[in-house]
Amino acid sequence: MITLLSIDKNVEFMIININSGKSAKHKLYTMGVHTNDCYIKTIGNGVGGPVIIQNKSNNSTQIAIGRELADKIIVEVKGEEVV
Amino acid sequence: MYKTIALIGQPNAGKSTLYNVLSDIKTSTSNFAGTSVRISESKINIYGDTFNLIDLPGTYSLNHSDNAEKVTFDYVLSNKCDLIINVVDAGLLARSLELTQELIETGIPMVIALNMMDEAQSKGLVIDEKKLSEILNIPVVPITAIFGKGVRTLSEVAFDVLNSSETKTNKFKFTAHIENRIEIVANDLKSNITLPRIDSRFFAIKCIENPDSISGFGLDLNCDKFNEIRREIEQQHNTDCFEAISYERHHIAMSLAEKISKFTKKERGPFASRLDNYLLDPVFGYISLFVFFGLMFFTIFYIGSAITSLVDPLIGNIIGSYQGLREVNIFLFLTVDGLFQGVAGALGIVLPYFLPLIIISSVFEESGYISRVAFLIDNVFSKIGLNGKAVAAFLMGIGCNIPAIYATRILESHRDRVLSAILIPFVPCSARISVIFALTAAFAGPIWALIIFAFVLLVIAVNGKLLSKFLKKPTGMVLEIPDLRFPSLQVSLGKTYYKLMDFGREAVPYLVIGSLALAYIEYFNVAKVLDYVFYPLLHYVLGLPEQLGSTLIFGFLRKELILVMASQALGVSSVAELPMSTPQVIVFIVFVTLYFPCVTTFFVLMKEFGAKIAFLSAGLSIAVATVGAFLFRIYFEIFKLF
Repeated sequence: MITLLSIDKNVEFMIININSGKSAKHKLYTMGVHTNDCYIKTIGNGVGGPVIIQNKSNNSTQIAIGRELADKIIVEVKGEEVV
Repeated sequence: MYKTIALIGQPNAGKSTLYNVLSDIKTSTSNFAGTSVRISESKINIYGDTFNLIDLPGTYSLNHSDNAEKVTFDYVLSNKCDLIINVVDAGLLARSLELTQELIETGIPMVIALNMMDEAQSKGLVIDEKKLSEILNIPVVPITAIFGKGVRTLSEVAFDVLNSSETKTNKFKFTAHIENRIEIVANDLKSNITLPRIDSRFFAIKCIENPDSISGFGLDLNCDKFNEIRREIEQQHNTDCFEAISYERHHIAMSLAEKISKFTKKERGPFASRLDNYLLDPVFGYISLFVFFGLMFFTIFYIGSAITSLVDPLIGNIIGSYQGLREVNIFLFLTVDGLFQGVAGALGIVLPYFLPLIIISSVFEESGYISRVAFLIDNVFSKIGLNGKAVAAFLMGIGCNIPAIYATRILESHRDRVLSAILIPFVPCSARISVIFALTAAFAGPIWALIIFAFVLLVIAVNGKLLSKFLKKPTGMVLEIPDLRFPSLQVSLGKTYYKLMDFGREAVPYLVIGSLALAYIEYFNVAKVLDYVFYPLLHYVLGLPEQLGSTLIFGFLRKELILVMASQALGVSSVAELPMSTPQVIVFIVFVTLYFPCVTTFFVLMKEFGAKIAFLSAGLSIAVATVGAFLFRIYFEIFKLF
């Protein structure tokens, strides 16, 4: 299983499942992060920090996700690196 | 009884900016999610009629996940709203429409204010607001609140809706099997709902997706029938009801956004996004962070000390001019001296450092850089038992600890809120920054100011680490990173002006009255009693002049008072003349910086977290201040510096 934490920066992916606790999962939904949607990981997790993702389809705002939570988000890589 | 208009929208949609334009009352705004965590209320006049205008904390959804969002949820269900103005960030249309759906479900009359249309256009987004209005049967008014554009039309439309008898909106429809069940639940609940303005459909949807959120309305939400309905939906969607409903809302919003908007060529160049890549980069981001805070530090230090050195001789001359009064009438002399020292302290000692600080912080808040700092510091904060989202509250603490403690409402878990609230009083507010800068500028130079700030960071880290050992694991960070904005000079200067007015209204009277009180304390020899009480701490532990005892009491009222009081208690006209050695001044600064911030912070802590946490925080800060200042004293005695 590939997690959001493990994929590279600028990679396009789809969220398959969010294996976190209920409250973190609900927070993600209310902030517009949903399963089966495509995103781009715009910033990686350098120096042990969080990651940033952006919804690909609706030009939405960027969402920063802590690395522990990012490690619980299962993703499927959709395409080549986008620059 | 005036009719009530509530501004509701997602964080950072511009509600407070719109509130400021509509009410002409200035509340805090910034380019960061969760700046408004409390309700602001004002009376406004439209066509001669008066209305209550309410600015509510931003909420992503009516399924609240933190206390700030709960404030909005509770207000919507308080049955007080006559009209909702749903403030929508036009640039984030699809996500914003998810909240719009929920607000429509309440059945409260609505107007949509499509804000930041200029930014949406620069992102290449063209929105057909007429089509949106037709689909929803709700008036939609495009506005750019920051420039007041469209706000007049918005208030006229709001007036019309408030005075209209026909306000039926078109509700969004979920898939048929969910709709059927919503109808069943709504019919069952209808007779027991005591809030006439709220549609039974809203309670039915909440009963299915998040029954806990409406548990306080005396409805039987867990009867066998409703449990069975939830089970059926979970089986059909292979997920919990919250996710099923949320997923449907998301898709309805996405398809609606696609119907009413289209992307064209972006007007904005890639500069903002390129800059953002640097600011968030794991290497350049931290370099920028250090450069930014370093520049901020030295700018405040040198501008402040330059202004002080200009003002000091003038203050000294004025003090010299009334010294003759001492021989004529000592009581009159002390009254005049007390009053003047208070004003001189505010204008000559505190303001020179306070002014550059609030100018820089106003620009900083407008730009959206706070979220970038939160992102960069998340990994450091996670090591002291918090997450990056708490950084925003800590940064607000640099201005004043009180809004910072309120800002902990944006944190989802109670554990994170309590830990932040205990640590925030260690963050030097503008008053304590003025104390640090004024005294180090007079005695030790900027390096010692830097060392003291570094020590404060260490104190926060060590206390966070130790306290988190007694608490459960911290929650993970989920934080919106809003677009970088070039700070508007007009808005930044406006914010600076209002912060300055607040200082004039709230701090200056304290400084003058405190200074006068100290003069009378001296006259009636009460200072000796206070000094006697603090003598063991000041003399034996910290090695400081005993006359500073009474100043510590005043510091509890407001920390700026320390500067005025110390000069007055030790009988000098400026802090540079204090009869103390440099090590003594540094020990004094460390103690003053760390011991309890001020009485207002104490009461806000008590209000937000209860007496136990407020006293724990007070006790901890006094203990940490004593130990910290003592360590500096020992250091100076061992190494014989200065």
